This record gives sequence, structure tokens and C-alpha cells, in this order.
Amino acid sequence: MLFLCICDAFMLSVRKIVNLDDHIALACTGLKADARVLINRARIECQSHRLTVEDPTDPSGTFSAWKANATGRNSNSMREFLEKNYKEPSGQETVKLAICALLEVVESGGKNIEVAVMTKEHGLWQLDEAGIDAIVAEIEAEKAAAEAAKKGPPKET
Amino acid sequence: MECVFGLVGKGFALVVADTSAVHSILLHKTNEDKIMVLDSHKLMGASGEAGDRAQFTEYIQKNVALYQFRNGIPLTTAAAANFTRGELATALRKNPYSVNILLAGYDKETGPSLYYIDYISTLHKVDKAAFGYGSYFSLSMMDRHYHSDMSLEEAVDLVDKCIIEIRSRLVIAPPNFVIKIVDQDGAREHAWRESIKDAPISAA
Repeated sequence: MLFLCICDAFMLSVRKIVNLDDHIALACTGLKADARVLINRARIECQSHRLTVEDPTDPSGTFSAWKANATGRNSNSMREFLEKNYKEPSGQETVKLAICALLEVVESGGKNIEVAVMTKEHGLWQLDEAGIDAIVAEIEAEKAAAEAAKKGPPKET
Repeated sequence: MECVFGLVGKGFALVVADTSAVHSILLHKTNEDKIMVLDSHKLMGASGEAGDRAQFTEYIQKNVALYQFRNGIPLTTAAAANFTRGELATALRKNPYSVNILLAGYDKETGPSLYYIDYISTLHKVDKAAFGYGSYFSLSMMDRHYHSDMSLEEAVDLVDKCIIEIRSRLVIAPPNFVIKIVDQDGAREHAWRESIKDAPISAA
């Protein structure tokens, strides 16, 4: 089988978030070489499933095991953060929470963070660097404001 | 008595198929869709053994989707046609598929195209083509009236001429047809030509 490798001019690094099907995405950590073998198998399995079972898979029939989770290096501290701060977010709040969790363990900056959002209407779409930087700036501003508020008020004698 | 035919116009391609599902002397249904949408810009009209038709076109559709997930870009129409021909050829001397296929697609770089792929893996890139007994009539009509770069109106008019010929001259002519189009905006159903509608269920 001929394997085609396509270099997108905008992609400077190996992607860690990939599409398996229209409604399934996969994020991976660890050995990328192993990951691509498994991703290929998973993609084949998705199409094979569609072919044999015929009807589109009803998402409510599959396991939606986790409301929030983390994997890879420092996943324990990220998971702790999520357990503390997860409050059923929706829309943009969810993206912010995810980036917040990442910022606990990673150097801030769009270059080190990849964010992909999966919705029913739009499928999988990835945020661009500028978008991520904007949210990071928002989070840092909020953190700074919180710090200032902590140091500010107690001046009553 | 299956009829599938197609033609290329200016910036689009049409595929037309009858919609009868027949087993021996029984007509099961008159709204069987034999033109599969392979991906956003490809249509595959198929005629032949009913089981093979469904199985083979779905198999091609899933492989076209797999290619897109693996490589991040869709197959060109030519590549899809050659892949289909390859699959038919591989199966030919072992478990042949009895399916005839008209594959129409639109590529941004090369525009609309139509491929004729028969059950023994013949592959031709064509402007107009037809399969089945209906081909005797539709090919003759297209030879007479077709010219390159037809507008959508002219092309649908020609399709209607072909359907009229099939209905009036073929001994057991299929009553209903579906017309699907593929152009820069994608592959979609264009119209139905029905002369029989399923009878409404009468109240008790």
C-alpha cells in the first residue's frame, strides 16, 4: 500500500489531534510513530464499522465515559485541576477551562498548545495560534486581576 | 431493464438512473436510489445485480472516505475511477461483481468529468454514456442532440428526451427516474421524473 505524506505549509509540527471519522477525534501523547499505526487502524475500523453496521452510529449509544480527563505528562496535576474547577461549562467557557488546565503544566503561548473543538453542527475544527493566544491573554489578565484583588482590600484598620 | 445514463455539461455532470427494484417478474419498489453520493463532489450511478450494486458502491464510498481521513485531501475523480476499476479487476477472476458504473465528479482544477466503468473493468473517460437496454435509445438521442458545454437547461431537456424515448420504446420500461447533478457546489439530487407514485393506503 502506498503511503502518501502531505506537508501542509501551515503545519510546522506533527499533529497530536486527528480526525478518525466525521464525529470522532483522537488526541495522543507518547511515541508518534506508534500513534500513527494505531490511528490508521482506527480509521479503517471506523469505515469498516460503517460498512457492516450500515446505519450511522447513534452517539448516545456509545460510551461517553468522561466529562473531563487528561493524559500524558503531568496528567495527574491537570486532572486534579479539572476535578477542582469543572462546573459544567458550555461553549467558549469549555475552551477556556481546557486551556487553563494546560497552562498549569505547559509554558504559555499558542505555539505550545493545540486546541480542537468537536460540535454536532461543525464537526471538528481547530483553533489557530492567534485565537489560542487571545484566550491565554484573557486567562492571564483574569489571574492578574484576582491576584490584585487578593492583595488590595485588606486595608481596614 | 435497468437504465443508467449520464452526460457532461458546462461546469457540471448529470447522472440519471431508473428507480425500479426488480426481482424476476416482481417490481418491489419504484423509488430505489441507484446513484450513490461518494463524497461531496462525486456521484456513482450503478446498474446490475442488486446485492452487488449496493455492496460494491458502499465499499467504494467507504474507501474514498478513508483516503480523505488518511491524507487530509479528497481523491480526484480520475483517481476514484481508477481505484474502482482496480477493485473490479482484482475481483474479476475470483468473485466478479456484476455491476456497471457511471462515475461523475467535479474537480476544482479540471472541472466536471464522467467515467464509464463496466462489469469487466473497462474504463473510459467520456462525455456521454449509458448502460442497459435503455442505452439503445438514450445513446442514440444523445448522439443526435448532445454538444459540448451544454447549459443545465439544455442538458435536462436532453435527459427528458431520452426518458421519453425509453418510456415509449422499451417493452418493460421503468416508470420512474432520478436525476442527480454534480458541479462546483457539490453532488446532489436534481429532480425526479415519476409516472407512477406509490398508491396511498386507503382508510379502512
